[in-house]
Amino acid sequence: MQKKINLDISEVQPREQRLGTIIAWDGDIKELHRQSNFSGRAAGCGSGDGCRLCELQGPFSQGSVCSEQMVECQAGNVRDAVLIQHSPIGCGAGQVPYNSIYRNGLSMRGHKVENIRIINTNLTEEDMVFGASDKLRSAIDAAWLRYKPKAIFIATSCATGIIGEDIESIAREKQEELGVPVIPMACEGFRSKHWSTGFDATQHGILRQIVRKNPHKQEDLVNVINLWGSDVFTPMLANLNLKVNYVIDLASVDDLARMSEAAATVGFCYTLSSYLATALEQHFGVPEVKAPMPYGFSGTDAWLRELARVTHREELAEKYIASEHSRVRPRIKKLKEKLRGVKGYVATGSAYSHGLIQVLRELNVEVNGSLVFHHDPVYDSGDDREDSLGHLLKNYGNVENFHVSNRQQYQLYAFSQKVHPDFMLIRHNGLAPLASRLGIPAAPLGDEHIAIGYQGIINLGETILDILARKKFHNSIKTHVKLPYTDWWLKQKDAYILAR
Amino acid sequence: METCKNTKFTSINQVRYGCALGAFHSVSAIPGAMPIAHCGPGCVDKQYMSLSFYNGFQGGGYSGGAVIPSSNLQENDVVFGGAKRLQELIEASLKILKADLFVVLNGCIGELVGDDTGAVVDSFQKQGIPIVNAETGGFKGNNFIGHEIVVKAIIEQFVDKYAQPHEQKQKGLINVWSELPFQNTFWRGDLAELKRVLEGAGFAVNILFGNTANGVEEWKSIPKAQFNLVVSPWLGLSIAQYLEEKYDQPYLHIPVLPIGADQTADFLHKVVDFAGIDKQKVDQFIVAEEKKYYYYLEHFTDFYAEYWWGLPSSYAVVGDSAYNLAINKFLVKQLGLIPAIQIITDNPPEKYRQAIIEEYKNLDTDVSTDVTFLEDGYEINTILEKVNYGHRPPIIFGTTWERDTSKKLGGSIVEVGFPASYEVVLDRTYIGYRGALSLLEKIFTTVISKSA
Amino acid sequence: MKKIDLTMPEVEVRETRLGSITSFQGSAGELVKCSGHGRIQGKKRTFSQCIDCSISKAACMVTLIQDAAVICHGPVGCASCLHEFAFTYRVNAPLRNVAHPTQRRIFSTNIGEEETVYGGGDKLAETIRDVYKRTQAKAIFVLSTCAAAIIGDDIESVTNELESELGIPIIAIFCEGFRSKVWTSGFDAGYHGIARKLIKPAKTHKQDVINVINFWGSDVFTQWFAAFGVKPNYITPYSTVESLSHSSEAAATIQACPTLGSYLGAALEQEFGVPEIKTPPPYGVLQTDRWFRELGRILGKSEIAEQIIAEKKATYLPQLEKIRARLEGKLAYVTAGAAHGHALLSVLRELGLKAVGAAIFHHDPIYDSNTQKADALAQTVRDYGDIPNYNVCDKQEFELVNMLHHLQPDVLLARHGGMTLWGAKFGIPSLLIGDEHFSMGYEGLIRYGKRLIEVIENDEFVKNLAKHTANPYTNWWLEQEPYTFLKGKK
Repeated sequence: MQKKINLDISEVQPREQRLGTIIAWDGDIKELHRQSNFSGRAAGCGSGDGCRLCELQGPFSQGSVCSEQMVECQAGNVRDAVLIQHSPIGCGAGQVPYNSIYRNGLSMRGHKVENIRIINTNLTEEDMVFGASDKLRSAIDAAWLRYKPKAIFIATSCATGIIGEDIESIAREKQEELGVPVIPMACEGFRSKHWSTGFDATQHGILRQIVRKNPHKQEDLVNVINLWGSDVFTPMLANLNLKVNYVIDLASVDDLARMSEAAATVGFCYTLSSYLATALEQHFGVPEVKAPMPYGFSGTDAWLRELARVTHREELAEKYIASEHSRVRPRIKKLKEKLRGVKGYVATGSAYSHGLIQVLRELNVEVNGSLVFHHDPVYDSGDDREDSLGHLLKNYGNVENFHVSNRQQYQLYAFSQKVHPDFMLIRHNGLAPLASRLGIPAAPLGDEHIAIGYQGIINLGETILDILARKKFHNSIKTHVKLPYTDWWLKQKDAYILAR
Repeated sequence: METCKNTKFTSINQVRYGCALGAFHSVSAIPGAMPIAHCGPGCVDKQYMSLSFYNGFQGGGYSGGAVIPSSNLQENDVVFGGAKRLQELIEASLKILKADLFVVLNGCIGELVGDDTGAVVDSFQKQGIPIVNAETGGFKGNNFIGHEIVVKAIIEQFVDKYAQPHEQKQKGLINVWSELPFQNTFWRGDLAELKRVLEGAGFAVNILFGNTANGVEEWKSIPKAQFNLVVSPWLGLSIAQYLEEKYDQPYLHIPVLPIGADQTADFLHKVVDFAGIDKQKVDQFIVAEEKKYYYYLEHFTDFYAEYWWGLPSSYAVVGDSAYNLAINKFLVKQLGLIPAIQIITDNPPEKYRQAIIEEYKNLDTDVSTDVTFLEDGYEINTILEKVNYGHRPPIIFGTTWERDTSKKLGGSIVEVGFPASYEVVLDRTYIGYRGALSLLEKIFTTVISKSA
Repeated sequence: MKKIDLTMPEVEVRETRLGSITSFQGSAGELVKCSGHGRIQGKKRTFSQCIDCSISKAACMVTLIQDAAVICHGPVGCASCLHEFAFTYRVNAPLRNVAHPTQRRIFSTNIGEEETVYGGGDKLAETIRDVYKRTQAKAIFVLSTCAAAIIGDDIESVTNELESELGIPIIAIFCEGFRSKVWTSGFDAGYHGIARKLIKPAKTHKQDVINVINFWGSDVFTQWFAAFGVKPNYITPYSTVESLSHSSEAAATIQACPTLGSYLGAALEQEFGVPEIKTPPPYGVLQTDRWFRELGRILGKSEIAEQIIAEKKATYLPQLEKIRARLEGKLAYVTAGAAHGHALLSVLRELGLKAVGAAIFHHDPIYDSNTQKADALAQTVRDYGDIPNYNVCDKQEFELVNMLHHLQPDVLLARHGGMTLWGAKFGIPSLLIGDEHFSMGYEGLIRYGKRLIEVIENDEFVKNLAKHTANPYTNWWLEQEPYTFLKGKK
């Protein structure tokens, strides 16, 4: 990329400006990859619209997701920090789902299970008129007195964005007073058309105010950027004599601070890790492992080899790769037989979908359709070894029906009619309910690590067998519910008809 | 620093309600009605994921969850206004979605930047489209307040226009205003039970929400009802008063949701007396129900009297005023348990609070207790931890937020309110005759499964 | 005839060993007087309801040994209630600091019609091998049943053979239900097996260990004993085969309930030289004083006993006064096993209540220690006065219902299932406490008193239920004398 990430300004630049992100597009992978022009874009394609990906825009939309939610799911999940939502109470409703997820995550990773620590400033009509900086100060005091946190995060909201609250200066004032980082994060829902900007907002704040500036390097420490998934990396990296530093979810503030001490940073989903990994390299000299994501044999092989190269452990890696191949092959062979002729569909976040399709194809599952919630034509590093879409295309071939659709359930109907899948892989809420009503079982992948690495191929195969068995339930539902969509809409073959 | 001496906070840790926009759930709860949200991209998702997913996993159904049209407002709309965006969203919604009634709910952004959603909706109403506009900016209050705003908007802009003839009221027909749909985890089973017992007593019932309601047709018959019945400490009172003025309908206010045989019989008698309908039917119904009810209670006695390892006696209820009061009555009057501390979390408007406090003063002829109004989960749990529960740890009737405290106290947690993230709820009810039995099952299954 | 004979596979049943009875009507004082003067005669009931049998009593003592396994040799039905002890084991484990209670190992040989013809010995041998393979238990107990006894399976020989084959103790326990009408004979059978095959003669004697024969009550003794510098060796629930085998090394044995431990306490004293503390367990202030003094005397630490008594009384007696004030004059009725029933009668009267009667499951005129010092009924009568309507009644519900109907007490106290619900049905608040240590000692009186107040004051449930309950007994019966069906000599 031409420009280095700028950590001097307090607000992160939204993805659409940094990466040219889009949320609606229709075609196949081949064409999307061509239009994305990963390496060209990284090199910079000048000013003006020459570089803009063509994006569809229609009048109808259903409830989506906002950046503030991603802040809750990252900053809200740091174990010894507190997140303050400077907003009306409605934004606080997010505490409920993220608490449940947090508790599950703590339990999966063997931490003590306890409630999430998010405080909402509960803004009311009066605050909209007179401002609410005292309410914010008081919430910060509450956070401090109650929990003595190691850091305090502050999430903005649409309402505070519109009334123009000066959150930055209050944060600065309080940071000085309390002596712990007080970190404002600009994540108003309306600021970005895609919620993944919320990831970047959290990471930006952590990079600016928590990551240690003069690190003692640890040559065996690797940052793993993830969410709350089960601990698959510790045993995997142990084979390379490497230790894992999971960030950001379920980490402690100190884990975040020591990111700069690591020998490398890895991710398994560039949608999530793009900003943080690149910034750690550019500003703290921690090399980012630039490789295909660790899905399927070829992805995992390449990912491990690159990690080994960066950390100088080539021999260990080769040994591990060889032993894993021979361990999983027989089981995968059996799964392939069972899954022959089965049709799958992937409806997830962007880079994650690229990875899952690879695994499905390793398993002989037919995939000729997928929807992703957004598309980043390039990632922050600009390094084309990270071109996940290109890697998929090159190693596993085209996907004919590829749609960018930011969790628009009404479009999924038409998509599914094109390919008639036997099952779907869906990570976010909202789409599986429709799939069910169409008789299609979906695997909710709450544990995002399930399909990673060699074992991930087996895990995913077995998960699919489990959910295929549930078809009985979904078929019975299908015959007894009516859909809320009009006959006119259900007849449409083109899910983007209103946008053309 | 002086700021740090401040220990009285207005912020909310561990939310126990949604915002006014969250009342789109009250629209989804009317069969055939569809909400349209004019708000930011995450607003619908948040209210849905909290109130109807991680709260008993109730689900969105026909017109909830990710089905709901939302304008997902962007920076442009904030700068230039979002009314046009709403206009095109409604047009497209009419094409794509089937519904008998659409209700537009305006969120923070629309209200703050001054989008005139009323005018936009008005232009559709003029074309004869059944659509209603409700101003439910999240900063206006919680989803209880939002519910009353939405209901009044539907009556004023839809029911009034399409109402069935109502010069002559229909004797024995009642409109019921009770629990808040989806916020109350058990509202579906509860409203069905409420309707069942009222019908058993001889009434025709407009239950209005849930799958035993007859959709918008039922709403059109609201003005025809003999009277309005409010069964909750405060929610719905202002709706009943509004209807009294508008359609000259009297209302009966019974603050306690009935749980168990005594309470339900008492409740039904009050309603029958108010209505002046024939008493024979209600008496027969009660006899038949009590026969069933006490059959189970008699068998339950072996357990309740003899369980070797002891059962907790003291309890705390943390929750919305309606359930809080109802459960307190049941635990004291039916089971003889001992109230330790009661906390109401739905932020009832000030003017109703004294009456609620009085109810707790008279839980039974010989039992009286205090009640606290609090919404901040941190303070709630701090208080719960400090209470003296006697020689055995308590049963805490609360929400998922109380799980940690309950564990710390060595007590049992029964999740009875939002958020109940460790309950899967279909048609379970905790009120009336059937519900009391389910509640007993739940309480004691929880208590004894904790033991090993 | 020698009462305790460890060379015999079977133990004599209580009615012949101790002269125990299961029926009596009169006052407690009369019963005490009779017990002291030769054999008393129980009467026969011409109407009776279901009672317990010895199997579950034997099972309850051996199932709860941490590393043992139990085989019930008989049709599967005889073992169908034993899972109760698996639950008991889990639920009470925290009270005994067992962090990870393991699943109890309970098996049935499941004999069928064929075995009743050809014998079940082979099936038993196979079962023992399987159980050993699966559980690697440190000892296996085999419980006899009515069916196995009638067909004449030679359980003793089979177990002895398997014992030499497998190299662990395999212990036959003879507890078939028809042998005794006093189901507590089952305890004796279990202890007999333990005494003859598990407990080893002492090589050394430990001055700092005291055997406590009890059920699964909470661990109150560790703290009490600490002041004397000794620690409890609990027998048998939550013990191990190893710890049981060393029971012979203790400095003394105490009973939480002499009905339970009579036989083993005496066996330990007579066969292994461990002195038994014979004064009844510490329920009520007076008896707690005596008990601590006796403990101090046996350990040669009387001054410590006096100090404890003084300290505890200073702490608890004022509280006791307050509780008494709230309970004074309330009428109580007790139903429980013999020794624990006597304990409850002391406790309730210490708390200021009045005992209007009791239905006690059986009566042992004397215990295996063969001394009147141990007579707990005599003790409660001496300390707190006579008790009218003292009925020995082995869980005959119809008599209890009749008594409650006539006496209308304010509260019903119990320790066993099947009884308290009748309190509830009559609108009488009832208290059933399974933890037999709950009301022990001075502090136990406070605990029990508080609980009692709670129960009496929160009677909404029972009052309401009484209004809606149908009684299966005829009015004719309720108006009869409670002992109408006790007829003649046995």
